[in-house]
Amino acid sequence: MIKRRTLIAVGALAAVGLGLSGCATGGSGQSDGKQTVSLLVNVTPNLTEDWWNTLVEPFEKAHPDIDVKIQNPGAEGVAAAVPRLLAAGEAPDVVESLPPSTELAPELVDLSKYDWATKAPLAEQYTIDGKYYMAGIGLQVQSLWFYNKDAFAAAGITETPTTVEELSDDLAALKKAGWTGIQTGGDWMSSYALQTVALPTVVAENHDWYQKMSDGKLTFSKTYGDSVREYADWIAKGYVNDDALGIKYPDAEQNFLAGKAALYPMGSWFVASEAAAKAPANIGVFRAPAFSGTKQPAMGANIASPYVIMKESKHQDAAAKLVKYLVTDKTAILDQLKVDGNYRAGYDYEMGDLGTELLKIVNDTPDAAYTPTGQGYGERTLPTGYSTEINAQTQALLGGTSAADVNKAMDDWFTANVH
Amino acid sequence: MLTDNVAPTALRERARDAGSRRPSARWGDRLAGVVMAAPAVIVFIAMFIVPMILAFVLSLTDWNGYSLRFDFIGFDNYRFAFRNPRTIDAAVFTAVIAVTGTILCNAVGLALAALISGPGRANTVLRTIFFYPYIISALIIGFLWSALLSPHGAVNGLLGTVGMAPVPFLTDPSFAKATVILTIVWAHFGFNMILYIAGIKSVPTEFYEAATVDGASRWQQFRSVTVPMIAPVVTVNLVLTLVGLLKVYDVVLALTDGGPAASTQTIVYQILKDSFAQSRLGLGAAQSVVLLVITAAIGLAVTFARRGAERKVTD
Repeated sequence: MIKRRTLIAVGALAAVGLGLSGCATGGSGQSDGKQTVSLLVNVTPNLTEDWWNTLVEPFEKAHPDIDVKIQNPGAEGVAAAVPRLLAAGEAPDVVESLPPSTELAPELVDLSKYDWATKAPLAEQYTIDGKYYMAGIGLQVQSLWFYNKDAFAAAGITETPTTVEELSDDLAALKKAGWTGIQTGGDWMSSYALQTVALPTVVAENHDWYQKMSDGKLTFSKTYGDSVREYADWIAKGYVNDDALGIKYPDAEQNFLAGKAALYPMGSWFVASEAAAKAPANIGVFRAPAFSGTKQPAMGANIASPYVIMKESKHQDAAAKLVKYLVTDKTAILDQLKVDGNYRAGYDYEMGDLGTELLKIVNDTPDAAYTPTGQGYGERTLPTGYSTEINAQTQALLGGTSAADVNKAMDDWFTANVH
Repeated sequence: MLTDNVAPTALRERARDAGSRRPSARWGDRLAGVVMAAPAVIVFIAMFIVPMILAFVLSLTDWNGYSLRFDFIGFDNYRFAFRNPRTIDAAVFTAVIAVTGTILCNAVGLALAALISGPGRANTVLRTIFFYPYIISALIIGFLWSALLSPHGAVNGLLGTVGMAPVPFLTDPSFAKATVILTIVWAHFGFNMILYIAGIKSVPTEFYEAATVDGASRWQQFRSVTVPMIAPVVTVNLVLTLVGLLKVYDVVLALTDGGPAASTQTIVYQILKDSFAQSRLGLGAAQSVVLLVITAAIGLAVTFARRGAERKVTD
């Protein structure tokens, strides 16, 4: 039989335990008056956890009352982690790399009253119902082909291609010269090459392609179909590495840096990898071309390091101070631009030849040519799941499925998902 | 014989005593029973019934996981799930895993159990070796086989050294499906084997002695004595394996991540992807409810189907 004294002791212990656990999970206020602002970030080979901690160190020194806690979502990534954390009642205060969407907007703090948000890069393009929900630090250019200059020279190619047809001829020449044409991989990157082939033409010919696809006014096969057929043709002719589906992103990147392939479709963040590599191949970059006859090829671009503040945050003012620092402090901006090879007008940093080549592409691209990639952003967003589906279908192409079947599968997918 | 006569008499007397007790005492016994069962019942309701009801309610909404606001949309999520090609593909592959996996796990488990259920150090070592994969985390198993079977993994490396072409274990949809199923079987059959060994050890040795006297071979003894006598164990193994394989997720995540070309996505993988990566918690809940109903139906069907075989043992 349990004695009364034992019961009291157990009860007291439970009460203390509950109290302690309440302190641990209930908030980020600390006994010394410090506020802890959690910052959920994507950790990548370039953006390591240590790098993030170093980035916010000056802010913490300037604001001794605020402690910034870097949260690493691990392999699931920020986009998947946020809904889970929200559902668990553990929403972070600030989230990096999560652009606002119509679904997400109700959970975000409206930053329209802050100049540093409304004047940030691509701020206008990302508005939803005229409200500014994010602030970014620069531009991430995506419709790019990095190329091995030695491979091009060996294949007798003297100029970079300006149309998809020219690119196709160059790939034939590269194969003839014994080179693997395009380096791609599995995981999320399978569809990158296809999108780099398609979007410059598809969006240039249909400026509101994203909205019309979402409304069911256009079909995938009629707008994207030619690009799918072209890419399937390249796969069939052996222009794409045949082990693509078994290669992960870091390995694909290393293969290209080591000179094992002639072309690598990737975003501007690859510049930083090239700069950090020991003895990389002789690499250049050119803007992704469109099919001949396209007047102004579209250029995929996203905001670099967009920051949003969650409405659930109990420290919105402190969070706003942190975001302001991240998007206005010149050193912080330059650090962020440099580490991922991103760009922002008026912010020049020391860059190598490849970075300079890329900067020229950015300078030569008119603002009107910029388009979202993948799922899209702001009000230019495709039905949920598009990125996953186009990736799966591109993997099917790489596995030998015909272009016609892939186009039909994508049409079916849109039919099922457009409401 | 003495026990047979005395026991019913004692029971009858005890029952007569209980019947003659005061009503308040009977109520006291009942109350005590309710009080003692209450914690388990409360935990069962809180951890099983309430989440099930919540999942069903959630499945009727368009909740995106971000917002605290949502609308009720009737059975739209169910309609979408049944017409979405990805969900259908995932359901078909899950069914293939469940059926082939259950057959293979039980066939291999039973065969090994029959071979190594006897005494002896070698059998003990073999039982440990075969059971070992079952206690390893499914994620570790996935990553382990992924490292071994990837295009540049150890197995293809070995094949290359003997001049053979690499095998697309994880990069060709058909190979990847087979790889997933065989990996799951490798990880799971040890559990089936241990249950079968326990069943075989519980068969009275007199039956085997009688069969030996009658001139039955080892195979005849296995077929006519062992298999009928372990019928209840077979049922448990079938139900547990089938239900477990309908929920496969972690091995797939680590081994193929659902690829290539979404060919190895299982229904639970699809549910988690829709729920969290695609922010469609309502859709995920609808698919979970369907999976729950199917799992329960299959479990009950197998149990009922096996009832005849089990009755022979109990009779």
